[in-house]
Amino acid sequence: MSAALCIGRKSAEDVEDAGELRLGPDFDDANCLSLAEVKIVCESKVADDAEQAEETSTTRTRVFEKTLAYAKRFSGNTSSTAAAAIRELHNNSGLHDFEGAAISNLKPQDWDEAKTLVPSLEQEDRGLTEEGIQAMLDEMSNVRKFE
Amino acid sequence: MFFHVNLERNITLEPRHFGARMKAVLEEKLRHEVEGTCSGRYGFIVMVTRLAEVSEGVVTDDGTARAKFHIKYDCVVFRPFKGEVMDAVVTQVNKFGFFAEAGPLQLFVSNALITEDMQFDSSGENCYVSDDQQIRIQRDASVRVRIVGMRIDANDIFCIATIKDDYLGLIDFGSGGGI
Repeated sequence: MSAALCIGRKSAEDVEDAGELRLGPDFDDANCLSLAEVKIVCESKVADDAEQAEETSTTRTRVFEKTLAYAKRFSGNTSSTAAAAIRELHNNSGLHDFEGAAISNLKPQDWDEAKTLVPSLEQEDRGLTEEGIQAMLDEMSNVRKFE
Repeated sequence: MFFHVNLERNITLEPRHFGARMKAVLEEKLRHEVEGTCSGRYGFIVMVTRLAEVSEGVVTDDGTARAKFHIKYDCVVFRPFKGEVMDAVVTQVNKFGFFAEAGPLQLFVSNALITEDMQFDSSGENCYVSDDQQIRIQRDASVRVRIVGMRIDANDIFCIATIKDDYLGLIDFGSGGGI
């Protein structure tokens, strides 16, 4: 890599800020996954391997093991139907994918907690209202409670 | 944050693999080469979920008769961002702060970024305890942190995080107990 590229990369890191929803060109339009969804993907891979009675290299990497343990610990007992319902909720609320996944991971109780943890919710001209977000948060905790 | 992204890579295959199972061999080789790796640009690659497109093979001109394939694939990656809030598990506590892990990512919270009412205590197991003894951050506790800085190496990412803000800090004490 040339020196110029290195410098270009460096300045790109400086403009990244999740609090203002600047994720850089590679991730601005990427699909975000919540921990519950990551857990579903990883566990289905483990189940596939078990079915075929062979261990693949995927499940043996340190990154995979750590990820699965992390997702299990912090995703709660969200089932795949609940995960789908939660995704539906934040998709319909006009949230960016990143904010939706962050809220579904961090499970804030109210608007104040949500906007502190995910400050981009408070940016102007997003059309997000306190009432709208609060209603979505209540709905999310209902989904979790009654699955 | 975890992402599902589309990436590309060139895979070189030896002639003995040319044949009916070629695509399976390519997929295996791709998984072997990318899964578990980390780059500053895309973060940690957790797993390949699908091969979206495999180009026709082009025999390389280095005289080895190997063929190069350009592969587009979908994968799950974990990429931290500055300003992001995430949960993590404490792995080590010392007087300079504590280390924690969020999946494959290592984090460090320096004692300057721990709330002032918490003091280091090494009388038993190393931990940070609040003045009223109610909050205790020790190994295996869950904490909620905000990333304030990242150090990106060729094949690792290391983050500096803070718990000095509203709604951050201890979530539960780990396997030993709970709130």
